[in-house]
Amino acid sequence: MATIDEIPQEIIDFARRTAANYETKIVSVRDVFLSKVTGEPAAGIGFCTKHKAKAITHKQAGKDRVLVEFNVSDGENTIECIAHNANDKYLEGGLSNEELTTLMDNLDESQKLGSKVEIYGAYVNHGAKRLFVVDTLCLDTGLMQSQMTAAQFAEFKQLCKDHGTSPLELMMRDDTLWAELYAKEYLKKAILLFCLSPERKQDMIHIGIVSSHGEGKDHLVERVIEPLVPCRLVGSGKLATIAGLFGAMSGDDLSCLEVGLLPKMNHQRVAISEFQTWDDTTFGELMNMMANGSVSIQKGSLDVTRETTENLLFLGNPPVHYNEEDYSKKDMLAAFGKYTHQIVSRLSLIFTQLSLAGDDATDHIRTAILRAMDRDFDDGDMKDTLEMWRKFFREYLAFVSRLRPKLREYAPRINSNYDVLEQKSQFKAAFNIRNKRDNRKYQEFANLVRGFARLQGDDQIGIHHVGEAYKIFSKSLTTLTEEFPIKALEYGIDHQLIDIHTRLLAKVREPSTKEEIRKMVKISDRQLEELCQIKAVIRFDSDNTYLVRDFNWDAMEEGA
Amino acid sequence: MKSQSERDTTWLMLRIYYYPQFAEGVVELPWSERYETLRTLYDVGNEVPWEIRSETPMEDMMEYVSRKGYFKFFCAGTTVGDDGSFKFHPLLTECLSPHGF
Repeated sequence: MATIDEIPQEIIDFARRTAANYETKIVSVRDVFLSKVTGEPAAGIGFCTKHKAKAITHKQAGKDRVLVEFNVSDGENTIECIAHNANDKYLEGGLSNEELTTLMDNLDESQKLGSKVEIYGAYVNHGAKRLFVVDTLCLDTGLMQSQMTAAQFAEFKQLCKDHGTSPLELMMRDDTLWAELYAKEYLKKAILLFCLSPERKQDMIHIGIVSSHGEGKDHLVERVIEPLVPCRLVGSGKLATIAGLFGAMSGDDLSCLEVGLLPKMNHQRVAISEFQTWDDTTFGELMNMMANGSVSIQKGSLDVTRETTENLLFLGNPPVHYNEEDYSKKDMLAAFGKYTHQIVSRLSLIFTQLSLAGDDATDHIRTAILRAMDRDFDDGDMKDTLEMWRKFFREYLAFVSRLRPKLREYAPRINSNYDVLEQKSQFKAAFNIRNKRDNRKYQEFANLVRGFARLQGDDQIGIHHVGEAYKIFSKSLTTLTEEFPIKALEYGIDHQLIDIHTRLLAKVREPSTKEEIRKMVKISDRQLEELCQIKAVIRFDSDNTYLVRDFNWDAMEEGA
Repeated sequence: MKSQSERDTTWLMLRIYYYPQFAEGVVELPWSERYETLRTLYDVGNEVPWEIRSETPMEDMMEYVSRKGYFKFFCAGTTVGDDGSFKFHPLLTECLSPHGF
């Protein structure tokens, strides 16, 4: 995306003015935890992990009064809370019967469905215990609802139109959201799709990225995604247990199911780093969640369903057993274990790409690394500007995630585009399609179309949304079936050299001199020498000519 | 009128998103194969088939595309319906290069 042109000042001013009024909301009860000593009023957001109603028999409380004991946890801290409808003489902060009933209803929903609750109150001493007395509790939709108003959204769209740009173009720029990481355009688009907040299971966009080590996958999460939208990075291998992901029985109370990471990030997103280190069983448990957007847990006397409508991003390396003699490129995804086909079927986009930035981007990458090491992004104006854009687009993304552009009206074009993709040999090779039709892939494609409409802030589907979905789906297929010459990687061959060889093969059909070759394809002495060394090009010393061979980069030998 | 507008919208999409792929992909074919592909596409989309004008038809084809490009062949291999749906000839689909975007 072009970043040469300056962003129009009017748009910058609008974003700065608007973002200044946005609050940063996070799921945390830490403020409540820290108010334990002072007893100052505090607020927090978390999940109810257990609740229990008790009778109050103290005469100062009044007749038939009830005390509700409950725990609210953010996964890191757990707050022991109470709410009651007793007289103030017994304990301050009493609620009315209706308020207490609503509170119990909300607690029940939070515990069973994993909805977040927002609590307000203060710590008091009650008997020998220090408890947080809740005076207000409401189901929290704050992270789903945008702070951007419809008027702000309309003004932003109009400003973009007036200045000949679009929200997506602005989000793709290296001076807004991508200052700290250099990435290819399609990868930027995929990540922005991932940053949408799924409201229903049909909105979920799961993405897999398998690439070489040292490609900045964690950096992508830490410096692009996490600062922009709520996203949690899951640990690798044994550090990410099923109990930790889905919710474990509490050691203190077997009637209590703790909040796992996935329910906690409902309507948000989770990135899984080094997913190839996970056990098969973990992927097995993920399958339902990826398709249905919820998990059902039956443990002890508990039978709960927790909503996990969220986007997943799998980041990893090819499996260690991979070798190109015995396996196809698709088998690189065997990192998903015995559930590979099922997981791949549930991924909207998969990129198996050696380099996330492209080999022609070395200078940009190195500059970004050095700037990060110099902490350019952590100080002064640069930090303020980046934070401003992130804050602004966080609310923009939350706003557009709620748009519902109708797909039906565009069905003929969506269907035709999908048919073209499905006819490609790579499609069947990539997804191991047994039936003639893959309805899940169709749904994922339609969701990509809608995703692009949302990123552009459009409430009607247009040709560019379908076209962009086709492009990125097509690119995903290409990387999955064509662009992962592992052996070439082992030999230290970069993509640029492979591209040059492809062009040579197309244009240099007869033995030609270096000068003749250079008239057709731009190539340096060093690159030609490298191609000769691996015998992708043969040099004839007798007349100083070169013959370009059909070369199999997977096997690093002459092609068939 | 509506169906015409639907067709035009689809053609706009095809021109932006598919033609560059086709133009990139078709030139990757060696001329012998390219000639057959282009000729087939032309014959599919035109009432009068590709005319053999000389003893060197491949050179005639080269001369034709050097002047007019590949868009006419792309159009010939594409059918656009009144509802905006479209279909490519299988040979055209094969020519859609992933590097054409």
